[in-house]
Amino acid sequence: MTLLSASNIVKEVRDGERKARILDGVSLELAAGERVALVGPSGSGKSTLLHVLGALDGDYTGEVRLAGTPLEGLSDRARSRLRGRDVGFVFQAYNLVSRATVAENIALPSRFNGTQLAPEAVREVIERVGLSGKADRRPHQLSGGERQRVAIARALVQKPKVVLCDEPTGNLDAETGGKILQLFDALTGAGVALLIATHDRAIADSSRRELKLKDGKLS
Amino acid sequence: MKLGEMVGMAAADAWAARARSLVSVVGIALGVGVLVVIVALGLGVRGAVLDEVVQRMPLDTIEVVPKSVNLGLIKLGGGSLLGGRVIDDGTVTSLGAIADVVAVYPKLEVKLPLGARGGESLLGKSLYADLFVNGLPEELVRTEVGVAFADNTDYLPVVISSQLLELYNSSVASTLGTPQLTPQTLIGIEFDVWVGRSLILGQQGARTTGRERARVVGVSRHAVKLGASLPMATARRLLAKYGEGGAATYGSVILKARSAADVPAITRAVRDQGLDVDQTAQQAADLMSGATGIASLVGLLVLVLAALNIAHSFVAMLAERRRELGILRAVGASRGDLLGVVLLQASFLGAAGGVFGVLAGWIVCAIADASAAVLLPDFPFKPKSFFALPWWLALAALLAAVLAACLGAAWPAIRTARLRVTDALAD
Ligand SMILES: Nc1ncnc2c1ncn2[C@@H]1O[C@H](COP(=O)(O)OP(=O)(O)OP(=O)(O)O)[C@@H](O)[C@H]1O
Ligand SMILES: [Mg+2]
Repeated sequence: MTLLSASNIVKEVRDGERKARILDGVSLELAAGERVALVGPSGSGKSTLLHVLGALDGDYTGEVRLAGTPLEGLSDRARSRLRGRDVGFVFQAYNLVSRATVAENIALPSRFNGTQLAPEAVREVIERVGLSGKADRRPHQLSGGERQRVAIARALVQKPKVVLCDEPTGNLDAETGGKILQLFDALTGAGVALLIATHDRAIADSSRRELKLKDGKLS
Repeated sequence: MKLGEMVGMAAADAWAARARSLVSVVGIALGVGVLVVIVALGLGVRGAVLDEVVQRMPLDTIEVVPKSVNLGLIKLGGGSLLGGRVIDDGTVTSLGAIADVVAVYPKLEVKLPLGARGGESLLGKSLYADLFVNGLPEELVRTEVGVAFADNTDYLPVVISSQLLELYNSSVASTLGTPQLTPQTLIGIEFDVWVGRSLILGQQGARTTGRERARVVGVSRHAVKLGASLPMATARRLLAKYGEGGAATYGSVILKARSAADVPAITRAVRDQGLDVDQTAQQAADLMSGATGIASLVGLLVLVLAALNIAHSFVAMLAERRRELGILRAVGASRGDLLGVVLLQASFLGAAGGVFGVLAGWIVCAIADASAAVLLPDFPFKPKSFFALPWWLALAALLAAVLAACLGAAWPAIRTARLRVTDALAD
């Protein structure tokens, strides 16, 4: 079952007088339980593509279907709902709320989508990313790798159908990175579709498929 | 997003930016305070003027008067002088026939040259003055004076105007050093009434001269302003005994309507009969309301400034929180959610400012009243309180505060909600 599909995605941005094409006709499909790596040099458009697929950026042409729903023409409310419930997004820059604790950051999506999140569910996901005992810390009291794991935990807590990760192991040592890989395996085992933009060979090599992006084009 | 979540988030945001919130709250409180004090002063003085000076009547009651030229609060001439209609027995009957009029209280003019002598027991020396007298229906004054206001062969029972008493106490008594009078000290006082011995009219208008004993039986708001009022039966007896026998005329007629809602129709019917309705109270009320309205603009202006201050503060606060709000959008907050949280935060500030403003205004009113009682000299109709702060004014001020805060925050909030997620996160 296809959980995520994109066809002919083109994204252009204004660069001075001329237009720069950051994504140039990208098409892809992701099935349930599949882990796909998105690799490519820095600046090739990986983050941009993930933002489009994750309903964070609506400024493109082409078609995206997320969990069966075409994104184009959705109301802001429906797009927001999708972001908060059906997609988990791990940002390259973590994007944690600095004045909120680890637990609060992780519970953040549930505040908007109307679901009741049990404290145990938050505790469980904190344990799974290896941050037990740090639930009440604030992001500035954490290391880079720990923050990255909070971002991962926040993306997983709503049990989304599709998870988009932007460099999820960039700041992790081999051992912690390995643990996160095990976590990803558990996710795909549960039917989640996983797309991971990464420079990490370990992730790329262990993924079933690898998409290579260069200058906004898949090869 | 659930409302409870929104409230919690808005409260937390207001608290997180507490220094800024405090400034906003103080600004709103200032505006609301000024507004409350001004409107309360206007309402208070208006109430005092209407209740004490003009003595407004109940809403279901109107006073019919002959047509007159009306210059604001001053009336020029009445009835026959201007060729208008004089109120006689026929008029009273036709007024009583108007639909939904349930009671008619005519005030009989006693056109006799009268003088009064007396007052030594009260004032220390005897005074002689011309006296103007009219006759009032007994039942009109009964609630104030009781059964003492009834014809009596031993003496003329008179009632004095409560306004006259107030004027005397607050200006004449303090100027001349004569004692203050209360209704209690007045009741029972007797004096002589000389018929046909007027200083101005002499004997003109009287068939014969004579002397009557009069006794004060009470104080009434219906009594003639400068003079004394008699029970209707007494007035008729006096006219029969001394008058030249002309037809009875009435200075005015009080009409009681079935309900206040019937008053406009009755007023129209009265005008159709060539008569007028006394609108002194209405005009005074309008005048005071107008003055209060103009003064309230000052309070509104301060409130507008407070709203601008909130706008300024929210622009800065939301700019600081741009990235954080982008994160909220990324994890599922809709534009409406952000708009709601920000406006709710503003309304909390507005409500807090409103509550403090109303409290501060109330305290200022109380202090001003206390100082006025001590510092201002007595003057006629000096009210106990210059302010009226009814519950609806407090509520309206509170709503105005919330509205001002929301209006101030609206533009920054909308601008923030419109922000593109990836732009906000790119900071
Ligand atoms: N808002 C923007 N305006 C103009 N150019 C942009 C904008 N956002 C991204 N770009 C450009 O688009 C290209 C792709 O950026 P993107 O962040 O997607 O790359 P990436 O593959 O994620 O790189 P990295 O591996 O370093 O994270 C870059 O050349 C970048 O400069
Ligand atoms: Mg990137």
